Amino acid sequence: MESTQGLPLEVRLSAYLDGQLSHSEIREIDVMLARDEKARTLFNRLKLGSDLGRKAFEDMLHDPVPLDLVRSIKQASAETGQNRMRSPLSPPSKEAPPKKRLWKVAGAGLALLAAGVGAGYLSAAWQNPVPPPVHIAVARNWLDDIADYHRIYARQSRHLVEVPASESQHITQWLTTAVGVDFSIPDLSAKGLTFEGARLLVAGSMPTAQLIYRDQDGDIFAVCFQKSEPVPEMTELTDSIRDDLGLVSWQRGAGAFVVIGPSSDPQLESIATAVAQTI
Amino acid sequence: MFHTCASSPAQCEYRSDLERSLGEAMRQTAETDEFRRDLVGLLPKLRRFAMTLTRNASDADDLVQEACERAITRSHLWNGEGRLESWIYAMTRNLWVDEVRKRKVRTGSGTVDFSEQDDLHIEASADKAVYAKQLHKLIMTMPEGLSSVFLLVNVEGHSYREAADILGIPIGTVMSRLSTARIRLAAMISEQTERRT
Repeated sequence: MESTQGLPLEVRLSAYLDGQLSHSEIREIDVMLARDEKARTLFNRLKLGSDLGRKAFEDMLHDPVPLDLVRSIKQASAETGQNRMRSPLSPPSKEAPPKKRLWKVAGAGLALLAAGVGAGYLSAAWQNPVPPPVHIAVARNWLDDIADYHRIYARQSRHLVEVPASESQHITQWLTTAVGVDFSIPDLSAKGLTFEGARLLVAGSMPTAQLIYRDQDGDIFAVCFQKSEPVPEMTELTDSIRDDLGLVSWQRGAGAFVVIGPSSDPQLESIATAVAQTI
Repeated sequence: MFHTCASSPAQCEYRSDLERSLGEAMRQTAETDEFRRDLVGLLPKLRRFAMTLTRNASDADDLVQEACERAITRSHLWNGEGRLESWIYAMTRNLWVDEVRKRKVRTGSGTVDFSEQDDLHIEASADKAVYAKQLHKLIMTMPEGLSSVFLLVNVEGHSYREAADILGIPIGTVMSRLSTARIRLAAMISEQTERRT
């Protein structure tokens, strides 16, 4: 507890408001507020300022987190921490140069870009033409299909689901039979998600169930699963990102599961944990 | 259970060291993954704190990114006591102090002391959405010294001592800045109410 004896009245009242005073000072201020009109007015002003500022700051928490920032921490930062995680038996590597801040990198990048464009223009004038690039097909897995479906269906306001949430019992029977994985529909209301309904998809050439949820901001999340090679115990949750979508996947028994949603949503991991425990 | 090795003792020892090292590396990787997940969960709060320092979103995001990267490389130093965000807030604040110092050297400019700043007034005609935006702007234009203290104590419930430690200032300064911030905010809202009536 702090002593505010001898400090200006607004500082004392402010500390009183925060409950950071000793019992004796609290009693003193209580008496002062009961008797002194001026002190009461000042106290009310401090309280008003507190409430207004708190509201403004709480609103700031709802601002969307930029995708790049989430990515940089989920993925790129593993390289940053590489030195600490290096095996003691591995040969000592050269220290990676410290990552420059973006505001510095931006300037350097522009300079390099300008230099590169100039050099490219000059060299292209007298060099042989470059052979056309060879396109190599990248192997896709079921998660790529899930991401593609999600991008399309998440934008459907009137036709978001094939079977609505009001037919939950039917959804369970239908998808259990179609997909071959026993499940129950996870209740994610504690995470602010409302169950909207379900679809049957084909992902990685396999029938796949898609349970669709909506959060309070209207963002769409989905829980998808399909039959897979059995695993003896549940695997770790694995993060991956497909452009603007984040996926957290795992396997349990003879089922492969994934939760998909906006990758900028920091709750994705905890939603997946809740699903893994309840589905 | 006895561990037998058909190879030479030196090879056995090497294999055993290798297994221990791999196990340790895997454990550290798992810990770092968990730490990184915690950081992602904290991002909205970290951005908000960074905004009170930088007062613009772009610098705030750069600052948060750098602070998180630094936190990950130093996660072995985090002892798990207290609030993780407090540890990262202090790191963020230190990075920003360094940046401001460098900017001062580069451009001769830096932050303006709160006593030198003008107040921002909320427009009387503002509707609810505009009002919310202006409130946000008001917070952003509050001087760094005031808004950071206000956020830590009044919004996030840190004690005066914790706020003082995070911001590297004496407790007395925390107290005086907090009361100044409250009075300024109250003055702005009172003025707006008077204009409306």
